[in-house]
Amino acid sequence: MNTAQTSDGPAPALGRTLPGTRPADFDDAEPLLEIRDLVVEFAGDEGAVRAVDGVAYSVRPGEILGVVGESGSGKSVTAMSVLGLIRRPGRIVGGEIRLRGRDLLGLTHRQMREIRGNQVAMIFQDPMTALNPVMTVGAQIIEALRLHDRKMSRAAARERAVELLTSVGVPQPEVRVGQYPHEFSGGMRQRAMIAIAIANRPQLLIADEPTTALDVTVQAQVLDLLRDARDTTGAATVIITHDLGVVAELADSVVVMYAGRVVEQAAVSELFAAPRHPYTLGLLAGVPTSEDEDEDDDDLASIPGTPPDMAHPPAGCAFHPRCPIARDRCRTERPPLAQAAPGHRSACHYADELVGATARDLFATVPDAIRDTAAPDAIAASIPDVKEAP
Amino acid sequence: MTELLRVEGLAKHYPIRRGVLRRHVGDVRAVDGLDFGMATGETLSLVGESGCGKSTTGRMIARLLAPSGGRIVFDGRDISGLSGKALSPLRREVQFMFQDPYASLSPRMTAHDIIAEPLRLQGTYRQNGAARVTELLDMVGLSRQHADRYAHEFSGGQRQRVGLARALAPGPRLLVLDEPVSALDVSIQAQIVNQLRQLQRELGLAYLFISHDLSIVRHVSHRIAVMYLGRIVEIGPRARIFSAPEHPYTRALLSATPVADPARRDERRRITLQGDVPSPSDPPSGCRFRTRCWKARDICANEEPKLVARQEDGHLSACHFPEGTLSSGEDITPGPSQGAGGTVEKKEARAWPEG
Amino acid sequence: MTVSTDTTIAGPGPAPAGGAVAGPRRTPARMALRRFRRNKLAVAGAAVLGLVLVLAVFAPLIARHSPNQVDLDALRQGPSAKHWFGTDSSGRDVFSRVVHAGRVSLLVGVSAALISVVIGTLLGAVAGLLGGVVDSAVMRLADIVLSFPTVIAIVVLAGVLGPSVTMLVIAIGATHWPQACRVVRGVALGLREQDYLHAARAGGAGPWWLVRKHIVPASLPPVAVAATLAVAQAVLLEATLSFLGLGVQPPQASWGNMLNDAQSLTLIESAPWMWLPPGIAIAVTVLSVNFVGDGLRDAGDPRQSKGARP
Repeated sequence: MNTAQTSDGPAPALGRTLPGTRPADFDDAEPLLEIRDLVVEFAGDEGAVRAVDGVAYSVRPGEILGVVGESGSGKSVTAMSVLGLIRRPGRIVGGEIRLRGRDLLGLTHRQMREIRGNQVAMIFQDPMTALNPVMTVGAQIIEALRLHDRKMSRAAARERAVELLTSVGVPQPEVRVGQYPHEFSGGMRQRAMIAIAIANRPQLLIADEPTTALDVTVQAQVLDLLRDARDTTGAATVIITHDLGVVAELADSVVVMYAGRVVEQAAVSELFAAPRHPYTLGLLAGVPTSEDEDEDDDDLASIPGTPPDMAHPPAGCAFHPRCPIARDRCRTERPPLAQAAPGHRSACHYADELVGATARDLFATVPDAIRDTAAPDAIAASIPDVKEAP
Repeated sequence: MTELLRVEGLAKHYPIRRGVLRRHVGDVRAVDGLDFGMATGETLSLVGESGCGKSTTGRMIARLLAPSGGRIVFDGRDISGLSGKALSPLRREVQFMFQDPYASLSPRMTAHDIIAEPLRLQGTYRQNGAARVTELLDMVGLSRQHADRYAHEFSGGQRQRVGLARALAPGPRLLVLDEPVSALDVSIQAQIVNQLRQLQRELGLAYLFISHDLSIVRHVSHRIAVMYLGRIVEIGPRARIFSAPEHPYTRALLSATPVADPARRDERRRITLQGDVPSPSDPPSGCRFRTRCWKARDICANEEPKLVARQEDGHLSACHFPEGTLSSGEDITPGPSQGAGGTVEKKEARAWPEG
Repeated sequence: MTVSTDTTIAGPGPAPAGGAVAGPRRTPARMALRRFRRNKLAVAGAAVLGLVLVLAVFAPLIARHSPNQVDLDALRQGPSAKHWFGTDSSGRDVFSRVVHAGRVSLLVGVSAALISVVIGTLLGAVAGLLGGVVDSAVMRLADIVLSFPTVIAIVVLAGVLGPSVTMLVIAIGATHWPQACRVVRGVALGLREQDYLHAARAGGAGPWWLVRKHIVPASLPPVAVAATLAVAQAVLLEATLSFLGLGVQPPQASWGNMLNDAQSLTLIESAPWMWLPPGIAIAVTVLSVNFVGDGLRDAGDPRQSKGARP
């Protein structure tokens, strides 16, 4: 396996942290990717479904942005829009996606192809479907390199492919370069995917659930690798995940999405220490932490109900049917994403009330009445997911 | 507490056959000799990475799979050799809950029919089946109106509740839960975990909780067994496993699990294991973890470590060089001297400290 | 290790909590009907087939003449107000014979298809569920039956047993089961390792329970398709064999032996009313059955349902 590695050097040959890429410096930098008011709809029999509804976020060079959300929150659809991969019945209805100030939505398919694989690269959840099974891993890296630089010779590309595999910690790269994806383990495949993604030194790296299919020990390796990749290339990185642990380990800043909208946005330490949206609080409370050990007889605080059916989203704030502090205003008026603290934005009318709140208090006091209306009331046939047992 | 289940030398080997004559050329040793017991009303978690045999173990205990070796003793009765009709008393006592909320419910049956199926199979449905189904729906947090719905009309969390009600229908004493929440959204996971804990309190159920997610395991378990390549490498009370793990693999697993606390990102020291789990058809000699272990020496390749208690009864580990007890702030990173054993050049993988 | 995430590019995750619209409940049967109705040809086929069925069932009420009543005053007469489709060489009313022949043809078609589907479903379910030696034995048997030239087999059978409607039904049924068998075996193989089958096993279900409660219900949609195709084949085969004189025996009318009656060159030229009606009846019936089969295929395939997900 790892015989190519010397026993005294820490493995990934990528360098350590570069100066100038720490979170504190982001505020000064121009955003590399800027998404504004993005709206994506999917046509269906019962009318268009808004999967993404006015999403805005930006990433600066060298920044790792974690985008957190559950299934159907629109986090992946947003990323697919950046890559120009929205296909029928999906359609980008409005908004802007700017990469270094250039609006990607106005580009032709051909121009978009140029951008994918050069300035922007993607890492998928399942490397087995993203890699071509009938091409060797080396050939796929070489293809990526030569598509980018047509003058690069075959030999040079091959040499660079071995170099890339080494840098992502694939052992015996000279052998591995000639092997097919099925000869790689899951973790090795994800490494190969990352090698392809960083082959052309992209400015923006989008990773969609890059570790969800992996075991924890392999996940730890891949997270290290993504951090190293950022440190060496200085690329802006967007990590899409449902796992708050991954975000806490890796991200500099976080965007929390719910029902196709951004509900909270902050630097990672700020978001975990002082969340200002009830949904974020609930998510954090649902993850048992090591501090809970003495309180293990308590139940986990849990958000009641289920995420909304995007074909029939609730009026007002989409989270109100599950929210412990929802009031009449929340049922009618949609809260804008507004500043809650410096560098911290929240889409909650009552964000100020959440200062110092703990999820345990918040969700433990959810009255039965709220739990019983937990499912979207727009659906006549629906029944709440949770009913309090007697 | 009384012992409900005892497993001795439990094994599942799948023969590998090659060639036209289907010659037997070896075995995939999915599970290779497990010993453990479970008490009434306790939760024992089986943790480990994919391919470690934890799911296979659960399926053998629920007798969805026949063991190829060893004994499973449930409530004093050896059930490993039983088959067909002889198993039906056991079916009442041990039930199984599946990971995938989509594949585990028939798309052609209503929730009522799904939950009633085990009752019909036992012949108890005629007596008071309909009332029992309503009672079960209530127990898992669903209501009477849900009974006539088909699987596709439920959300993922609701489907898992239906699957749970089906498993509870025969009135089991032991539930094998195979990754019961890992396919669910984070906000739904907590709901199901709470439901499971509540049922355990009310019914005195024992859970064999199979999971790869240590943060959930930490929350639900009384005891934890860590599996690697078909063997248990460490087993003990939850607090011991998390605060004083003895096996290097347990430490690596714990340190690799992301913690939802960015403030501790920089203080935490991570052991990042290199490489992947070796193939269960050709496990390494001696200690199976040695190819990824930073402490491995010659003895690890030659002699298989036994699962023995060291400091405390009920906390067993299988390692020639177990870790000592550590206080929480202590450095758990292996020092370079530990890694510089005689076999370091031969080792296929090593760990390195990560800040 | 799988965690449901919204990585689908085609749409935003599955609708939770019965993304159902207000309105009728979406039971599997209703959704299947909805998909069936979307196929216009299938709906038309079903309508035509319904008409043929009504004509066949109520033949004695609809036809004013007895099919075997000989009118020596009217031999080979063209269509008229008295004889809508004219008369044949023996002076029998062609309309009344076509309608009555429909009874025989459909009876043979439907019962032969039923027999083949029942045999095929049982064998396929058992083969798929049990696998191993049973599976190999059943599938080899199916291969042997499929490699038999059906017509020749029936010719031989007719020679031994003598031609009759019962013989036809049994012979067609016994030679057409492999199609349904293969379909059901495929379904059973797919279901064998499904979690909900494991769940039934954990509840104590034996093979027979699994076949009855899970595999047969799951096989019904594809089997319905196989059955319609079998009906079409059986109707055609009945016509062929009766045309050859090996099927339905005169004077009882069937579409096949009516064509036989009209096979001389002079009649083809001079009396088209004698062969056109049974010919069209065969073509229309078989075509409608096939259209219905296509519709059933759509109905059984949830991927066809464009509106099932948002």
